[in-house]
Amino acid sequence: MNPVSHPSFDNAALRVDDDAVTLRGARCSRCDTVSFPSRERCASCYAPANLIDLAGTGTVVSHSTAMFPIAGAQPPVTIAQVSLENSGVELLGVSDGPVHIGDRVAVIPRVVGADDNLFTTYGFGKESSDA
Amino acid sequence: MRETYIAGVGMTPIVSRTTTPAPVQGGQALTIALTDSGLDWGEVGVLVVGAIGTDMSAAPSVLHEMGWTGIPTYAVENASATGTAAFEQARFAVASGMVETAAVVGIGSLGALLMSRAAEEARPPDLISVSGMSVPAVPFALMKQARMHRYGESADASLLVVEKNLYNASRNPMAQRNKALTMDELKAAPMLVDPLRRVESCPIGDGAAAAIITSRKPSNGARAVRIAAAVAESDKWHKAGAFMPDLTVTRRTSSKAFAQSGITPEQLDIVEVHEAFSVEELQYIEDLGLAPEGKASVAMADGDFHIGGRVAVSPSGGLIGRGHPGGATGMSQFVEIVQQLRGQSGVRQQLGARIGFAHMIGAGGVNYAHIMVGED
Repeated sequence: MNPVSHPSFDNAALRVDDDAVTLRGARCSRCDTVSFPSRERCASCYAPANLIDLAGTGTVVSHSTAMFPIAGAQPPVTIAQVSLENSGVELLGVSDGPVHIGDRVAVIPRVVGADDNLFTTYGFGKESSDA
Repeated sequence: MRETYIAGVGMTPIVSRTTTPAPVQGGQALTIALTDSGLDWGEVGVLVVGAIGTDMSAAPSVLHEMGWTGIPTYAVENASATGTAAFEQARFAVASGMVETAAVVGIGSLGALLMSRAAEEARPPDLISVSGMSVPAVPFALMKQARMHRYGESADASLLVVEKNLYNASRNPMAQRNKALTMDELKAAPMLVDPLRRVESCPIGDGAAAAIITSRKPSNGARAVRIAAAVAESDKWHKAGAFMPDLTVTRRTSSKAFAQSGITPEQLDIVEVHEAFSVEELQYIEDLGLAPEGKASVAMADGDFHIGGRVAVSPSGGLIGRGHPGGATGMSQFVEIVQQLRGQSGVRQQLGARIGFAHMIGAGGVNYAHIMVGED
């Protein structure tokens, strides 16, 4: 199954192209804060904000392992808290394998939903283990 | 603003489930609180009901369990902090001069709401469901992992919170959990979200808790309990704002409460915090300034936060032991603190208790800090 052949689960958070997914944020025109998901006005000060693409890589700042299903994934499910490069925005998401704090990960596509109602969302895949 | 006092408190036992309708439970708790206050229902100028997971018209339904006096009544909801949010509205009604005396009660259960959120496959995916955040334990498992990495805290450190709070709850007839567990038993408990064990999460239950707040020093013979500080805030935007609670907000509300009251952390005798998950208590102890960063578990192992220690934290058993019904959760903190400050807590009494601190958070997120002082 091609994970990018389905519509984005949330167009404000994720753009789905032919062969990749890109996280979407918004940078404030006044205070430079980056909001996620993207929005027309800054989540911090409510000034107008401009749509930006967020980095596709980041660093694990924490992680846990759920002993129950998380949309589209069966237990044990690794949940990573990842600080994205450049913006510092922190995302939580399902990792395709165990991770440690300090690991570098990449944003990868993942499929969620059921039957003929499938969506593409994001997950994380480990790039290296230097923790 | 006028001085405000908690004249009376009352609650029903917290239980896993009950067939008693929430408004009836609310009436039962209010009746106990009103009797405790020595006041008459006709003196109550407003009724605020913290209601979660209840039917429509919760506020008048509770009022009608009491007397139909025609006073204004309304319900508020703020997730886990629903009861505390109602308390704050009632306190403000008295402090502002709107009424002389207000009644407040927390009712309803979080159970049904959480069950519906857990049924993720039945609804379209969203940011909360695809990230695992629809299960409340997840962010606190991440908090625990981060503390272990940052401070070198062991995975068993937060079990000290569970051991203490279950022991306190085992001596509290109002608590949902009534069995103390040893550290060996806790270490053998299954994982929920590794590194957080199932036993490190609070039970969801049902119950009601109430208070009568007035602008006059109570004349019921009990020690007067003054509300010395009241602070409410919501989360500020932060890097993980789409997923995680604002981990700085408890420091903000508590420092404002200390400044407002002129009281320092060292003066606290009794503290009740929102420890829905064990590791939260360690974090909030540090946020309140009761231990240096990363050192709460060390002080807890030394007995600093047990009843009889430097400051008793969660002497009621906290959310983990007393339980987390929803509407009653925050209100039962005030019940515990008032009884402690009056010297009415029996085998759980923190001797000489004079100053108490109540801390509550609600998902979303909101945060409250209240300081109470027993006056002679």
